[in-house]
Amino acid sequence: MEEKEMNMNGVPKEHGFTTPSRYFDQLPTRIMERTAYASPVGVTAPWSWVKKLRPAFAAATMALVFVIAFLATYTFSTISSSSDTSLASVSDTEIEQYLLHQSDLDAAELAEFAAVSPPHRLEFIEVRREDVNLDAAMELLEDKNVTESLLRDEY
Amino acid sequence: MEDKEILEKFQNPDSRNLAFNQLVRKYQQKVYWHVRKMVIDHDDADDLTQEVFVKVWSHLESFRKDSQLYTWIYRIATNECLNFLSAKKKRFFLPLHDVAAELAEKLDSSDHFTGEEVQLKLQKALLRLPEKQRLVFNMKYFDDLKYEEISEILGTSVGALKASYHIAVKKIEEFLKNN
Repeated sequence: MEEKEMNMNGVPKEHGFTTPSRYFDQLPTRIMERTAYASPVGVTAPWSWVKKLRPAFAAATMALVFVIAFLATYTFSTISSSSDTSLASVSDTEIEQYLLHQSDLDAAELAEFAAVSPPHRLEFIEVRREDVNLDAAMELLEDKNVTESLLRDEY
Repeated sequence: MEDKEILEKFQNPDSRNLAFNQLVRKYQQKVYWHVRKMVIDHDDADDLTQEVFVKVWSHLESFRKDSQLYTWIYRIATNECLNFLSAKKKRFFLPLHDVAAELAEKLDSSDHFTGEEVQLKLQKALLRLPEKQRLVFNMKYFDDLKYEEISEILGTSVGALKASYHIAVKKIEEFLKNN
């Protein structure tokens, strides 16, 4: 009992800590400055409805993105199929005329194209077989003349 | 201004700031000293006190009047202190004893401790206690709170608090006797 009195009862109830001068005069102002930037929970801030509607905005944006993506895909496929349809309506004769007049292709090249692309047969591009044979014979003749000329020069 | 009047005025947007200013002026010292005795350093106590009042401001609207305003504020301050000390331990990977040693060093070097040697010894003895015991001792010994009030703040039974305070006193006496 005596020991207890000597210890705890001998200790003043003041804790001994101090603060900088006028600390408690200035503290309320500093706290009020901080609370100026914090809205109380439950009090409606001017733009609080934006926060509340944020999930709805996100959902609407996602839906809009899907709609745009769907429309873009649908429109592209429509354009593509319509161009196929319009090409199909062009006659073979018109295509042949176009190829002969708008490009540098001749009858032999068209025939060669048909040979490397089996679905495009000679009948399709309407090239006469005699023309093809004539072109081939001319090429053979040219090659033969060149060979003879070379042999002659060599000996 | 009475707590009831402060709360009523806080509900009105026109008088909210005035009411809160009154609340801060009324409770700033209690909150600061409660925090200061736990974290020792003035700058830490200053930061935490401001943080406590910002939280009070943010949640006062949802304060349920089934407890007293000052015990509610004490509870917020206590939580802030415990979170601060817990974060300090985690940040430095220090066990409790080392945090206590660090706080004791601050106590020795502080410009804002002007107590007698016996008061310094008491504070050092308190730093050796578990945080909950330190809280109980501070609120009972320095703040003269009733066990019922401490019970409301800490959410601990009165019986457990009495036992905790008794153990704390015994440990402090032992420390003071040996030092």
